[in-house]
Amino acid sequence: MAQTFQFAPVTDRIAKMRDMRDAFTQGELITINTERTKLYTDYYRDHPNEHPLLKRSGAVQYWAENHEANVFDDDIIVGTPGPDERSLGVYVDNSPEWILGVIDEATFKKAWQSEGAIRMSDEQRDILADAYEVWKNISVSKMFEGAVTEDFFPAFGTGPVMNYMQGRAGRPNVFGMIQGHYVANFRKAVNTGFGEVKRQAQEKIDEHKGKVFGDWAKKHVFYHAVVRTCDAAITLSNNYAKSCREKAAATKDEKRKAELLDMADSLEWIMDKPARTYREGLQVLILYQLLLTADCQQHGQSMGRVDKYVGHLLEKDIAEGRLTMDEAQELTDAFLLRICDIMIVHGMMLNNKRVIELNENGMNAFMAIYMGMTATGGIVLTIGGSTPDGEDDCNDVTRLMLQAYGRMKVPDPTVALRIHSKTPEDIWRLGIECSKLCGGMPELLNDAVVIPSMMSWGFTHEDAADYSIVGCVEPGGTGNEWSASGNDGGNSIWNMMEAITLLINGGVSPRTGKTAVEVPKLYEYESFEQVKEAFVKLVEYCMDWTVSFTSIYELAYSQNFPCIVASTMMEGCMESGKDVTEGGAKYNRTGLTACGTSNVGDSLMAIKKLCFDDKTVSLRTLYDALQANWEGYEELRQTVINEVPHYGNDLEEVDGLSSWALEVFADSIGSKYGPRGRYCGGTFTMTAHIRFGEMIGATPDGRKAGEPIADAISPRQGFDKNGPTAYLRSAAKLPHLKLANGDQLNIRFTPSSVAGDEGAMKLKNLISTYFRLGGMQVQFNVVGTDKLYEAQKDPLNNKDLIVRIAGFSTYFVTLSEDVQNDFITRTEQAM
Amino acid sequence: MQQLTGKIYDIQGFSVQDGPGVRTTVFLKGCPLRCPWCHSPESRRFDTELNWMHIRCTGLDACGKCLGVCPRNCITRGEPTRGVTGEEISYPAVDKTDCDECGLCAKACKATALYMCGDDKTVDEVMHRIERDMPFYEDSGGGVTVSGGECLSQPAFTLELLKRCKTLSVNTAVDTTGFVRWETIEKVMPYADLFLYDLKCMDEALHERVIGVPGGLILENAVKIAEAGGSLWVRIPVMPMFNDSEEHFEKYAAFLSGIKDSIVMVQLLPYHKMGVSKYARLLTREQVFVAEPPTDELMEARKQQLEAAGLPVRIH
Repeated sequence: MAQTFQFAPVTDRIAKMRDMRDAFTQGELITINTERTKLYTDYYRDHPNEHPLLKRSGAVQYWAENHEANVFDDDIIVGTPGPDERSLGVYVDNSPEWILGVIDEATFKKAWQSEGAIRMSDEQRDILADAYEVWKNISVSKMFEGAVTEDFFPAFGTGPVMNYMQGRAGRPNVFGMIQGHYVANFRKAVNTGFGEVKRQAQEKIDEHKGKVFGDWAKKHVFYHAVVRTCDAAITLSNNYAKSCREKAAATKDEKRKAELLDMADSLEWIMDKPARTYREGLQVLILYQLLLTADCQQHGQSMGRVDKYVGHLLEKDIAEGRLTMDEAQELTDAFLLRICDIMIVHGMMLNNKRVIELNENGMNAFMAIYMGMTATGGIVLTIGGSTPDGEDDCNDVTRLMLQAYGRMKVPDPTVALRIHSKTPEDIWRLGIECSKLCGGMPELLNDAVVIPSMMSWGFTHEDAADYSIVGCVEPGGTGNEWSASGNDGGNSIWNMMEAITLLINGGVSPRTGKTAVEVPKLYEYESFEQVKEAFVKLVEYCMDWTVSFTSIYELAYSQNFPCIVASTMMEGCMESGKDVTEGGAKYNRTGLTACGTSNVGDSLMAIKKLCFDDKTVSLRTLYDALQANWEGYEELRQTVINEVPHYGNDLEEVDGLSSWALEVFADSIGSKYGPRGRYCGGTFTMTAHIRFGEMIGATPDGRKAGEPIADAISPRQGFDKNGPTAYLRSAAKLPHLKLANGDQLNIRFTPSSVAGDEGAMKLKNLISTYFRLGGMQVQFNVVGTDKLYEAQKDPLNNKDLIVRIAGFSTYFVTLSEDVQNDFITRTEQAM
Repeated sequence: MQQLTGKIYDIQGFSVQDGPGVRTTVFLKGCPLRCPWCHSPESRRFDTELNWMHIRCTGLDACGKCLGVCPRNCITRGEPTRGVTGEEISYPAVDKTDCDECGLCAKACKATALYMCGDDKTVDEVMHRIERDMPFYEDSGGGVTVSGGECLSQPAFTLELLKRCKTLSVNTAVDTTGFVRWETIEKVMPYADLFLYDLKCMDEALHERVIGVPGGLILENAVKIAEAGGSLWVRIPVMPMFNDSEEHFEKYAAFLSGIKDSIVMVQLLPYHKMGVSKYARLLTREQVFVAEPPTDELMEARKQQLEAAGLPVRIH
């Protein structure tokens, strides 16, 4: 009965390519890609006077012309961001400060040219040194700094409002993951092509030739930038075609020669014209992604509904006998591996001190960078789902994709499977089996909640039903929205527990000593209603300032760094003649996520029950206990832990308080507008819950200073005592429809409880019930606690153990110890 | 009037190994059997009893509220030792010789390191929990399993609980040792869709010697359930050196073939050591039988043996 589900084995050449991406050996095969750094630096140095739109499009064109378009031995889908097969792309545009540490002569050799290190040449060092000089005063950080006025700082940075990156810096400093978080219009790239878009842009230019009147000036420049970008796309493809022909001429293997020539023919056709075959469709997706990656360092440039873009091409290939399903599977595998190679890295990760330390500890920088998760492009694929009429919208590509993940066991790119009431049984099964092996991939999304939630933010029914997942778990429009749910990266995640901390301390931040709004101190509240009122006031204050800060950021960004590669294809931009950063796309939300759902509910519950309902503890005592970090108040802390109800156990009152807090947040943020459009709240944490925990003191939920807060909408580590059904019922009560920027439910099972046909069926049932109750998203890990401890002790023999840690999956052994421990303490379900 | 209550030591949602589909399992306390390998020793006694879980204890120096509350002086200061994270800690030393399970120490222990196992719950209270789990039963063919201990040793409560489930059309299973008067089984039969029926041993003498009660009644009841048209999901704990031999399984095969039409599943449960740590929590000197779990090969062989007799079999 407990049969084991089997994925088909991969072909030899896929196996070879897959092995290159092994968690450990990959470090040795990786290089640092400074090609784009050099090309963009040269272009910026040589064209200081160009209009930003022309500069961005000119730079990408220059990159496409000069990028070494290498084709590798086993390639059937081509395209890498740098000259090498596996390389980490570094960016200087956001902030080049990190370069100073890297180019320091004394340590460069030790960090980058010693044994076991990822290597950089002296020439690369010069490229970086040069880049620093060009970018030091014109980076995103600098331009942002130049737009932020002093009146922000009483509230922000050094003020009481805390954000992810901002906490200690106190000054705008844009690190890594700026903006991004959208789905480019890949559908149009595949099925319309850049040739046609170029023609349309040229038509607009010609219409107004010699009549650049009124507000047409900016549009004029915009359409010219579109033309340049289209040329870049076509050039890139042709350069790869050239490489294929050279490689074909050099090979003696006739079969391979024919294959390469065939690839060259395709590459000379696509990008310009619509793709004709499945392979061509996949190839366009990769090349467009490379262009987007070259354009700017953005985390979470997601690919969207790949099965929808190319499904019809596969169907046609199969019907006309051009392709077998086995060949299609191999292409799909190769396609995914090519996405794995699109790696970008946070410059801060390369600062020498850290790299040297790693080398000395026998680790390579790749592993460390991987922990920081920015090594991937944060690309998410979306598959499955329903049509606007509610019919199933899966096709054979949906199946091929799930097979590809399951048989290759790769942790990225992340994939999201859209679930609805008519999702076919075999897709469910593939999704569940794949997820067991790939540590929570695919994540599962509930169409029945996501679609109406998007419609409440102004999406048409048709566009809402076409949603994709962006970044980690955020639903976004497919090729029609600049959702920017990362906005400047620094302000995209907010710690709701900050409001609790302010609420305790009379509105004064214990971190900075600055006042947000004056509210009573914890021992001065006269009723629980008053506590709630203070919470609302504080949330409002924090959201006001967060949005204000981000608005200035968006202004600076759009004026200096338009995203022309995305705008060229994005629905709405051609029509409006405006770049996406200026609101050119059809839809324009900005996302913000709140952390601490369970801690806020538990904290409010403790105050309410102990101090107002039962009156067994005075507010003063609770306040003193918190100030003392519970030292000397262990009995009270244990009372909070064991006698006060906790979120996650299907208990109405405390679940209600968590829901209420989330609603306060979602309503507050949802009432605000940035330069492009309305804000939109969600609740997920990535790994920020650990950092956020470190930044705040003791809280009324029994948490000591520095301890992590709970991740996403999970109950606090170890506090869900009534099992998974109660946990899911609690989670289902949260206001998911208002959280259109996404939420995230992590749940971990022991392997034996979900083994075989029956286990898969029970898991499906559990998830579909959660969805029926109103849940939005689920990602589950199937791995026992003993296995995790074993992997901590013996990483080499557990290097392929993939876990889903937040919005992304990764190799468990490459995580830092605190993140590993946090993962282990999450309650394991169903013994 | 006092309401009918059951002595319950746990209720588990998403119970995946206690019958078909996703189930809620209600565990009743108290059992007439004394299986030496029992993995839930807290289910044996019929009364509420004091348990101890050292990892929850914050230490006598930080707390110490348990010292001095015991009217019978069962709790004293223990020797300093190493705690979970390696720190020095003094735990209370609990001598249960004179304990009358009054629960005062558990009440004093906010960390719930000392806690009482076994709650008196009304049928309403249990139904409240079940109703919340009901959405999870729907697609999976799941429902409620009443288990133990021996749930039929609290016959009035179990009967009432099953009746209430049936008024909501919830699928019901009774997990029993079979060591119960036939009249009791007969009463619950109309409200039990399925019996999860333990057959621990086919040898009468061995049964009595090891488990403490004769096995004849158990086999008789199984046949009677079959004859009365009940469905049986037979569970065999596969114990090394006890019932895991080929010969012993021949006896299982012969017996079960005789009631084949009533058997929906034979579930082989390999012995495991997970329950061992629970014995320390009981603070008794009771010893658990520890052995090496049966190998996968052996489990597979026994499975095939029963399958050869035409029975549906699964492991776990």
